[in-house]
Amino acid sequence: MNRKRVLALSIVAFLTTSLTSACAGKSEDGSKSSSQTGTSAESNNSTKDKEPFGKYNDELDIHFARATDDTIDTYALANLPGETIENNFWLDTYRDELGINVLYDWVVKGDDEYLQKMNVTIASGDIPDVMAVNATQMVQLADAGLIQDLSGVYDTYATDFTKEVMNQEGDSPFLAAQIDGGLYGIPVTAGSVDSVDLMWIRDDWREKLELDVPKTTDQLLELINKFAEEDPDGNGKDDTYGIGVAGSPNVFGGGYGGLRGFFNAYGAYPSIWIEKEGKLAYGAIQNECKTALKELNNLYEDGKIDPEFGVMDSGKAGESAAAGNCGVTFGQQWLSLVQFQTNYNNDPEAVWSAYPIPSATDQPSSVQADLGTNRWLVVRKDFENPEAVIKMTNLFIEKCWGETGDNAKYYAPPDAEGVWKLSPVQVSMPYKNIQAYLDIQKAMENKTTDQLTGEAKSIWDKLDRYYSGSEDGKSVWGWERIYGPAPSSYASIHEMQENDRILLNKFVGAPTETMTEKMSTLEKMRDETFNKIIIGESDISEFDKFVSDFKKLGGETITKEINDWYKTVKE
Amino acid sequence: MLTSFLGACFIISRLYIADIDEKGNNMKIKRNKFKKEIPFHLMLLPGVILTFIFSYVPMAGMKIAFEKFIPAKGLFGDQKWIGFDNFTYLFNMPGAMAALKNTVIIAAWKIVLGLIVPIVVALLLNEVRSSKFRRTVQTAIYLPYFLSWVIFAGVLLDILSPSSGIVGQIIRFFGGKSPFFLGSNKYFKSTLILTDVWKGFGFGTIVYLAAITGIDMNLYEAATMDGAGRLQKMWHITLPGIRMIVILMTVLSLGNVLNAGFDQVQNLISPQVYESGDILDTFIYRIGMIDAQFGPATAMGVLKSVVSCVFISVSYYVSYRFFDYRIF
Repeated sequence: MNRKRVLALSIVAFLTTSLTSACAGKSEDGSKSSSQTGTSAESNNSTKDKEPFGKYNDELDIHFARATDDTIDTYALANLPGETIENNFWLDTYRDELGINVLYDWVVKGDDEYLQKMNVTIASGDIPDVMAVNATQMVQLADAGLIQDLSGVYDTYATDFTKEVMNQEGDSPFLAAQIDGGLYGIPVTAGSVDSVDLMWIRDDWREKLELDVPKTTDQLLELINKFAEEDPDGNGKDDTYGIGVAGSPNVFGGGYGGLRGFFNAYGAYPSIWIEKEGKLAYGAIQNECKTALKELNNLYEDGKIDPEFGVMDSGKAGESAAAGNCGVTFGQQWLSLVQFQTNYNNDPEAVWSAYPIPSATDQPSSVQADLGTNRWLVVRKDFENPEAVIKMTNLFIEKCWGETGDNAKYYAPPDAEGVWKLSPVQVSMPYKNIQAYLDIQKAMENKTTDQLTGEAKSIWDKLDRYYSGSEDGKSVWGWERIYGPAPSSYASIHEMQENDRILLNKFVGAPTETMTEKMSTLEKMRDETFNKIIIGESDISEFDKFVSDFKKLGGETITKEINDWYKTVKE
Repeated sequence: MLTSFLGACFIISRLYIADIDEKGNNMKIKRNKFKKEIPFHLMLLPGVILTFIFSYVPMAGMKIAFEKFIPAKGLFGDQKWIGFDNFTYLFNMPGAMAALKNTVIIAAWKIVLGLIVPIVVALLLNEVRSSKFRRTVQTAIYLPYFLSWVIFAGVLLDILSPSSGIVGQIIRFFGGKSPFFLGSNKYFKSTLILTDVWKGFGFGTIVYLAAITGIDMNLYEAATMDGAGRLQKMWHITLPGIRMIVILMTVLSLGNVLNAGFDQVQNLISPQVYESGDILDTFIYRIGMIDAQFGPATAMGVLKSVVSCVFISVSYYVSYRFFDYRIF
């Protein structure tokens, strides 16, 4: 009996505790990976004169953590034989030129996984020397006194070129990192304009049906209508949808089938904070959204939207475009590299072009953009060489875009894509893409394309391959659709930028307290309500209920907190 | 969870046999038997150690539920104790109650059907004469059990698509209009329940079939002599014969009443069916792992564990009281 008891007890232990551990355990069983080997860094600094590229006499170990993804494996590493995430030419460059030895405490695949792993790492208290974190995490770390103020080293060590690159979009990238008068993170800058939605249209269909490029939403609706009804692919079958929409996890993604551009056309900005009468307000609760939702509901009822859009993410929804069943959608500038390239591979007649979004009024509409910077590099409190991060940033920027750099080696070599992601420090020059576009257009006009340098040259090489008309060139068709002459992605982005039609998210600070607690629940409510209105399961009047619920369930407090922040910035 | 389940079944059946053997044995033989069984205990040891490390030690983390937990200060750092505030916060959170309701409904149905379906299938299969046919069916229904939900969800998305899915096509063939199983609040819950049963019933069937093979064949022969038909034998011999296993499976599954299946729901849910499909686990995932609100997320986890523990205890008591079945 006794023995039975012991055994049985262990069974019950097994079963009941696996329940507990499933939930309670989550917060700390994430790994506490390799121990800090400590940085033997006593005055190991050759910086008699505080050189921005000064090399350490004794090799300096720096522990990082990083995310990787499939594109790094398939496009970069697969084309660089013998190189890995932990051992590649970027890391060699840091070792050779700066005397810095990069070590990774952990590497995970995927941005979401990185975010989660970073959360548990922070909770464990055993953090790497340098890491990229989001605004919420940065504020937490600064509050807990685990990271250090970098304003001093940034001012001393950053080169003028580094500062120029980081300030291309003003001081917005720095705002969230300015905590209690210090600078607790170096922004991982990225272009905001690159993220705007464009209106993608299959031009071959449009020309066949003798339609103009829509300038107004009415024209767009007509085009959607005809694409769905008039058999644009000419196969005699009713197999085309009007507009491509991806509804999962919500309709505001930047990939294929996002609807931000559609909402923007109606003057609605459903996922950013806009300025209204001098105050900041959340875009999704403004009345303009209601108009856009009503139109979407009409389209859905008319069968112009795939009835299954609600369960499809961007990749799944894009299959219909790739298969040639859909001719209009909204999404970011790079779509021609994925779904549309597939479509082109299947059907060389297919021509996708990106246009500026149309407008519902007689005024041109603006397109929304989030601040491109959403990560910051932070340095552990007792790490003795914080300037090393600035030096690495200097080196990265110099190698990629500086005068002494070699973009075709460090950033975009002809035979491998995205090799810059192999560097643990990644900063993007916010205006580099649009600049590359302008350089290429100018060179094409003046017939001086052979004089292009840096990134513009690597892009031009791809375009040239396509223009040569060779079979091999067809695989880079998508690049021509991005950087080629109008209509192309950057032609449209440039046009909107010139006409001041890009509306940046006005809130660029760290998330406020109530925001951290309530925002995701409120966003979930938004997604649910919007999708249900589109499919007609909820009446359009549900929108008003959503607005009042939003305010009641924390939205009002968040708006107040954000306006308090806004006041401090405006001063 | 399921490996422990298997382990439990194995051990329980061993105990059951051992119990019969032991009757009438004196202490000395018992001690010898213990010596003989040392290898078994050693085999159990890694499991016990792992359980201790991964399930008991982390229980210390339950204190997070009562703190205003700031992750950067560390688990044992200077956290502020706020008592039951996290729980109050949870209950005021929009969606929390709906998630609780969904969880209980979905889990309850899964438990009920997850018991009945395998038993019925096992009884039917047991009556099949051709052992080739029986084995084929057994293997075929067992297969989906080995697929992960990520893959199975992809399969379901295609099968249940109203426009191109096979289910929709069959319905249309008979003149019906195919409902959107994964995109409509009316059908989403039942789709979750039925697909889960579909994926899992092969496993249960095998457990019950194994239990049935343990029934003494003499009983059947005797019943045949007395003129019992197949149905009568099924009712009077097979079912009572596997009673213990049925009760065991019930007791164990009741602990799952708040586990409606995170893998499945997370992979099948979309915004338009949050209302009918959001469950506690997806809720906890969002507030804990995505928003890093460890306090409320742990509070919800603790709550879940407490409720599950109560359910297990009650079901254990009930099975002891009414069926004279005891684990301890």
